[in-house]
Amino acid sequence: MMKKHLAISALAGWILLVTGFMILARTLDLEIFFVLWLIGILVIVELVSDHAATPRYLRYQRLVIASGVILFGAIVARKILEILAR
Amino acid sequence: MRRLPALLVSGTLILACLLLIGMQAGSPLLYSPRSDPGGGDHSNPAAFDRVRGDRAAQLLPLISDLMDSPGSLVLNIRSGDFEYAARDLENYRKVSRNLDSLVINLDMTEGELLEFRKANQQNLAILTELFNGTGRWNELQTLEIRYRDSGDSQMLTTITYEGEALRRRIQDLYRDYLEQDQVMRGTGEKFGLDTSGYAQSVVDFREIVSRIDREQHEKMTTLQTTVTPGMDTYRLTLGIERQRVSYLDAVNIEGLLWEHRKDRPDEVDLFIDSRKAGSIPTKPDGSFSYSHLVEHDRAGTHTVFAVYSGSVFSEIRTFFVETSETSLELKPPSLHDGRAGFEGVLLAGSIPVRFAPIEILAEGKRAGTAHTGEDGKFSVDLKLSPGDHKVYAFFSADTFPLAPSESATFEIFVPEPSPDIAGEDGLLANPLYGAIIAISLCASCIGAFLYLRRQRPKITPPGPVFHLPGERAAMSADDEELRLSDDGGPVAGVVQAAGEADAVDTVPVGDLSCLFSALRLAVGRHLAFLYPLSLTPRELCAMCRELPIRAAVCRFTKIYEQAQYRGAPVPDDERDMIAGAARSAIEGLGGVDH
Repeated sequence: MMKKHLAISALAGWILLVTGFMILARTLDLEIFFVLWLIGILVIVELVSDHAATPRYLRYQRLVIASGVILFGAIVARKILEILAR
Repeated sequence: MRRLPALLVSGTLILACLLLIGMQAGSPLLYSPRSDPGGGDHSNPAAFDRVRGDRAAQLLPLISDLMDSPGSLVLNIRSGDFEYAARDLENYRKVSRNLDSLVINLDMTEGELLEFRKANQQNLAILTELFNGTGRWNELQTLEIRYRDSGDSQMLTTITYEGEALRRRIQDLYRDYLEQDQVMRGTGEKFGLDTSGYAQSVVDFREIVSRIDREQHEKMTTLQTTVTPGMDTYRLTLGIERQRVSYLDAVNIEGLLWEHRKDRPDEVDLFIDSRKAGSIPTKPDGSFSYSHLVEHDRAGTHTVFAVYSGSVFSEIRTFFVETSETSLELKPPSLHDGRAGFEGVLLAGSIPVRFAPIEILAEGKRAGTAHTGEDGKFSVDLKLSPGDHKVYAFFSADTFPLAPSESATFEIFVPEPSPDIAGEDGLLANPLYGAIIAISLCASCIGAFLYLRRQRPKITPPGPVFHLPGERAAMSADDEELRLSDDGGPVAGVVQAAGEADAVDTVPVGDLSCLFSALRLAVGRHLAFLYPLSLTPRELCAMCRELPIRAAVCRFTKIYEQAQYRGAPVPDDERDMIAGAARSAIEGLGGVDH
């Protein structure tokens, strides 16, 4: 199986696992889901990408991850404000 | 062909995830008390079963312990074993705390259980005071012996008077203890628990009171017959106008100092409950008066006596402070800025109660405390968690002769704070919020930028290996693996006899790739290029555009490409041309190992 397919399968499996545990815990939270997805895609991209060259299918993943990091910062800020507002 | 199943499986998994999230986002998939608040009779069946199942298992041992604890404690106090009594009191306090936390955690609102909890709290306070009072009583016994031996009649009178105050206090405690008896024993019997220990504690308590009463009576009799022998009247007399008073009543105490100097006023010290209330100057006729405002006096009997010059004692007088009923009114709570505002007034009859603590409770838990003002009114803003709350105000203070009271219960809904905090004026009004958002976003942007710009740790490529012309290359196993056949694949940096004309001449046409590799490595090393093996012939030519050997290199690469991609064997005449071009290029570089 190609690395691309392995990466997609791993990410889908990770998302399914996270969703399953959220359902079992009865706490479906989009923010937590997003953060766990970000962690998953970060790990998978790091594992899949090569040292010397970047495959074409990973070319734009770095932009997606960078956008995710910015969104993650916004989520953190929102959480801090929620805690302060209590 | 393996791609299709993998894509199908991955696509299915992703769609399943998105479907689950979409269902949750659209309408709640699962039941939860938060997502389904329901009506007023809404309850969480799972939690209800769990609580109900655990409740009996957790409550009964606690109630049983609370029924037994006073028996052991009072028995130890009665027998004078204060070390064990202190330990019993600590255990009793601990079990009471456990009950309080259990009642709050399990959200128990049954009236009977709450009554039991209140009665138990009262008992704990009563027995704590009994423990301290009897301890002080024993100290007074010791002091009495010492002062009697030394003949110090003044101190003997002082401690006898203090003993009198103590006796009356312990009598009041016993009366209060009896008031809790019905609730305590009733609850114990309802749960089928053994209440004999508690009943015995009442008996022991009565015996303690009787003993102290008897001993104090003997002391007072002895004092009157020994300290002031032959005197029917005191030289200092005291009188109280009203014996029974209540909250904010004035106790008017008047006295007369029979023996005093007429030329200058004297001062009389007045003691209430053995604590000095003040020094009162006497009038020219020796009379004095003092008005004591009943405000922070506990309900019950209080003793008063006066002392002149540390040696002349008045008789002991008493007054009784009655418990006044209170009414606590709470206005409907208001919500503003995410905080709940509570306002109300505390009255004792029609008299406002001032400086009294008011507890605001939400679901039985203390949410905050307010204090009444001069007019008995109080107001406080509290931060409550989002959701429905049943709130009421509660007043109970041992330092006031006032009965506890609580207000009506109000239901209040505190909305969730808006997730769009940025849209509210709070963000703009509070620079801290703006700073937090700015810092967080800046940090995340920097993180994203660094992620995009980061470079993986450099892996030092293996240095190209060159051999001088005519030198035999040490062929390693790896080199063998990397060396390809004549089909023009990449070759490791091992060059066979390249550099000198003879060596180049000896290269067979099938080793064109070796020649190209040697030239490429030589150029790469000359230009300090990290990955020379990735260069194509045309790139090699382009890289040499600044070098004097450009013409030779480009001629070689052109011929090499033609020979390589033609697919036919290289003619002999071209072989010389290729070798010549390679030789001139490498010579221009000063050799492969220059």
